Amino acid sequence: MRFYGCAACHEISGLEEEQRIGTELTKEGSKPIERLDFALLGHKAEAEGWYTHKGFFEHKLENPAVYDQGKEKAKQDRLKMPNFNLSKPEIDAVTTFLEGSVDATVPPRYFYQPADQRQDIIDGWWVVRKYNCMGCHRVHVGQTTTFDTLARYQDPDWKDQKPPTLIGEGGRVNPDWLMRFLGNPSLSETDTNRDGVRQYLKVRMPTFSFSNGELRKLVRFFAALSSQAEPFIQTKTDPLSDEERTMARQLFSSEGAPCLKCHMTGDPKHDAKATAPNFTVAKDRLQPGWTKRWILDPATMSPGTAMPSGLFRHDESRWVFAGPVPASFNGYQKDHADLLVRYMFQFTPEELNRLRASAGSGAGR
Amino acid sequence: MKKIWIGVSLACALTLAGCGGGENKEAPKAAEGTPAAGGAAMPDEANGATVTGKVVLDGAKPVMKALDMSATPFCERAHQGSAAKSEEVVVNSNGTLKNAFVWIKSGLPDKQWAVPTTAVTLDQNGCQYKPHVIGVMAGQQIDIKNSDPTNHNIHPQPQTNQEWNESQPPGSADKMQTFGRQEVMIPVKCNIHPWMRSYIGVVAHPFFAVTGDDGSFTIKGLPPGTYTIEAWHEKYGTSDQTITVAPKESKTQDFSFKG
Repeated sequence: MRFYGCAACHEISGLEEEQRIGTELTKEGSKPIERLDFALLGHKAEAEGWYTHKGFFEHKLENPAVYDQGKEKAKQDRLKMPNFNLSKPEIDAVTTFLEGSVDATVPPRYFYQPADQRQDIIDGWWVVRKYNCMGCHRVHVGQTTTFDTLARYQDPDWKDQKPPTLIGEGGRVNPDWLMRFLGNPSLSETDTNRDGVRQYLKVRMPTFSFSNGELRKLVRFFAALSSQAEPFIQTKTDPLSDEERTMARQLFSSEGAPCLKCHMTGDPKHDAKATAPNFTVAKDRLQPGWTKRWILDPATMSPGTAMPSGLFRHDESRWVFAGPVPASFNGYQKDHADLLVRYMFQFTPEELNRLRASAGSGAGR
Repeated sequence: MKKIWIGVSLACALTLAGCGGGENKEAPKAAEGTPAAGGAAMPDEANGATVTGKVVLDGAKPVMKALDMSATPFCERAHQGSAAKSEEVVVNSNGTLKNAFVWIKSGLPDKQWAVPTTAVTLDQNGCQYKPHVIGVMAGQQIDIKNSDPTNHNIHPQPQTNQEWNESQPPGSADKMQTFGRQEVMIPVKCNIHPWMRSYIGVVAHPFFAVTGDDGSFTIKGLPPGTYTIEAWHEKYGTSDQTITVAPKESKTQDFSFKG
């Protein structure tokens, strides 16, 4: 079995490790001519003018045993390559292929073959270009999209309808969530005619039916662009005390804070007028570090965003909410932005009910 | 170690020298303007020309729909009795258009014009921007007030100036902002209250005006010459005319938009 190389084509349990028995053909076209074994036909080939790679391959393919003519060989040394009875066009095709299987003409140090995340970036760009993500999304700084050329989207009311920027996406989202989203942008098996994250968008991201390999490459691409650590481990936020949870809930639903006026909460009546993603599911989708940076200065991270800046001001060593805060915040010495992020990332369904009750469903704007 | 300290103190000394030099240079520059112009110019009211006119709507007065402010109870209550109407087209009783922006588009001599030190106010009152259209010079302060007991955010969306979006909680201090480049016009919106809209015209010179309740505008102190004067309206677009003025001349230039 090993001698005849049966396991190279057939699956035989127990012989999975067996290699192929023929010569390696990967760089066959670059083999020095002296190493091609014309055997006893060498002089004849020179005389007749086919002492070249092309001549060698063509004669071999026409009759694989041609170079054994005139030789006496023991049984175990005899040629194992079968005669495939190839037609002339087929011989031409295979010869062309073999002649093209050549070594690179430049030294290996000229090739860019990084072993780290930079290879993920290269692999990712192939997928991004194949599906033309850049047609709708900003993938690198300074790029324009089709939406910049459409007259309707220059209107102030429609500018927020544009797809989100993907610059810094690796640092923003949880890669497991991103993989789920790319696989099914509606994030629902039942209601697929909507965008899973931004239900107020009039146009949703298409379902591209990526292969598993492409999904993996895309997720790794974004992670690599944002220099994310591998493997991804979600940062744990410090646990909230009950008072802190109450304070955060009061701030979110207070008149002084504009959060619930734009962000979805999952309540259909409230969400009918929402224009921003659902922050109650932020813990599955986002990363806490990014979320804190975002609420402090969205304009720097995404110029032209609908999220306002100036919500927090710096007070000595911590960030404090810039508007009126509920009375429960008196005497609280810690960072307000950090408190809100921890609240979002430790959200539970019970907390959602309490938040809705506190806000008053639909009202409280 | 000693070398490092010498290097650090040398760097500090140079930085401080740079600071002092810069300040000295900036103070006279602000007062004089660019050396080429020989000083920041002011409109010459005594010897300059005056252009007045009206912006007329040629056609039937369109019916403006009421703004749906139900999303914010306070805003709805503020307009109880008479629901606020869209300010896209405001036609005065004499058939002229309010909130049209008239400005000298081209033809002015190449000068630096003095920027007024007073600010122009943009107030958020009753969940609407008051006034609906303002004109400022590039570099002039805009005083943004929130007179409502509800949150607002101011989000101008310019093309050539820097875009910004700032939250203004109720009872907070006024925001003072400027735009550095000429841009006619910059739409301003509030992300929380999508019906709110206003426009800011930023001009590099002081020869502009916004039509009021009588639909008229006046531009004074214009140096003699030939100019392109433009009237801009939110819905009806722009209309350009050419005028030539002599010193101390009073010229009338009307604009008409087809409704």
